[in-house]
Amino acid sequence: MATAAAAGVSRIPVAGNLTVTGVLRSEWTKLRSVRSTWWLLSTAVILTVGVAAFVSPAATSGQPAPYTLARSTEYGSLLSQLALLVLGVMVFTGEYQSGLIRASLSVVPRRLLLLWGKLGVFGAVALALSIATSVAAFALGELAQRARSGHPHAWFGDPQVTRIVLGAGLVLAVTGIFGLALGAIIRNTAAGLSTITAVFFVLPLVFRIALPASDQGFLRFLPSNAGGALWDAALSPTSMTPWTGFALLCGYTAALVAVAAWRLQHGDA
Amino acid sequence: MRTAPVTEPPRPVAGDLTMGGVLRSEWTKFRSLRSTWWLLIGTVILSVGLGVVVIVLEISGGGAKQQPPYQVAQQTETAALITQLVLGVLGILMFTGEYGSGMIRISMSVVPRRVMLLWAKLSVLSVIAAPLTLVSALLAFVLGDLVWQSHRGLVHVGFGDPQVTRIVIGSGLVVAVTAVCGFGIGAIIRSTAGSIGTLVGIFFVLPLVAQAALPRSVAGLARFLPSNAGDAMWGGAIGPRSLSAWSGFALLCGYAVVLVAVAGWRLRRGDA
Repeated sequence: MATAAAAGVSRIPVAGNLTVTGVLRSEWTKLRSVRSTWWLLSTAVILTVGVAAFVSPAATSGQPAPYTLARSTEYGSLLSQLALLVLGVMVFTGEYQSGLIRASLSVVPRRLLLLWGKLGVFGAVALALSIATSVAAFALGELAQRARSGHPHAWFGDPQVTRIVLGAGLVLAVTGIFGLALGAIIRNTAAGLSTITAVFFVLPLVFRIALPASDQGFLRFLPSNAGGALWDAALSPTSMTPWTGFALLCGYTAALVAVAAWRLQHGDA
Repeated sequence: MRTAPVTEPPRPVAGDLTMGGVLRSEWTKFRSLRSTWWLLIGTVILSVGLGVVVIVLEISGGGAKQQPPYQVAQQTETAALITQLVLGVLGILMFTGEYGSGMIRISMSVVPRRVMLLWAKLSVLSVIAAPLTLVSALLAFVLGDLVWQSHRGLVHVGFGDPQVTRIVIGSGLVVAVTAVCGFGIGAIIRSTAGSIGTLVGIFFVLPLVAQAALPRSVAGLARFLPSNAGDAMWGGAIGPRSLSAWSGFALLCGYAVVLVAVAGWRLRRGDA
């Protein structure tokens, strides 16, 4: 009897089968097999690139400087930022909500490995998508401008254009990871999303309207404005320099990832 | 055998489904969730706290001398921008919370008249949200004003001053109606994440994008966005142009009515 049963079992998972590639592959499966992933990402890309086709630089007269035009084509990426934040937060909170996290942690008991697996897969997808989106938005926006006015305005060789276009993409990817880390800490979709959208979209607005100009200096250190500095789009009266702003955003993100790792490793799951 | 006495519990029969009963059950569901209390308390603290902090900063910043009363009132109500998000989420969770946990199956088995369920939820939400936001707005103004009056040399501000009453009451109303918009969005989309993303996208991100990226001719359309329309009521709208106070508020209410109507239609006609 015992031998018959044993013969039926083809592959028994044993300790040591837990490889990084295996974890990465399973995370990739989880990410791509959820419909909301595709809804969110395609909506984000379409809106962002679509907005770029209609923008016009704030410059009222004459030909806008190349970097002004580049920046204005990237404003639609704020919509992608929202989509990536939602998606990032959902990477962990979705599993906590559905209960899948129990299966995930049973299969990958090394919890940090799970975190790195999710981070790797989501980060790669977010980075590829956001760079592609920002380049497409710029290209389409520039071509639309060119068609309207008849002469070329800006291209990648022009001063600062490359930084602004690629920077907008980079910032998107890092904010996505920011969301992932926050989701891993808060573990609840509604709470995580409210917190992160408040931090990125509502607080800058509230402070901007509420505070006297003399007290607005610190607004440049908010995550959204620090990231915005990289593509000259900080919504604060003063802005950090591009790369220090981006470094600060990366710093915030790294800090959140560290807290998430600590909580996963040392707390209840 | 058949004569054995049966003590049957009172049996629910068709016709037991009263609006009073449904309202009571919705109230139980509403108040027994921790998230409800977090969001409600958060609303009060944010409204009052931010209102007072803004006034204190304004006074200490030294730029306060020239302000007309209505601007002071607007500043005490700044928090309306963020409590819109908080109570919008509360509205969203009324339905998405049930879809997320599976509770909706029980709710609909017990209350098969789906539109009745919608009305009951909406009533509970608005009966709580509207007084809460009004009281928070009043408190924010009264406390902010106390701080303001305690400094000599500043212009007197009270409810009698032009526009002040409208701004204070209006900011509270706008937040309550935003909660109803969230309620409609949640009932239509049914997913917490999708609904919050949609609410934030429409209320907060689109106005930013419109203002930053669109040409002036098109950016004027941004005043018809729900957040800008509502915020015209108390002066928090962003963009080159704004609707007049009451027409803006009416438009926001219109959006809320449409959202709830679509939600009702979807509940009635579609799968649940």
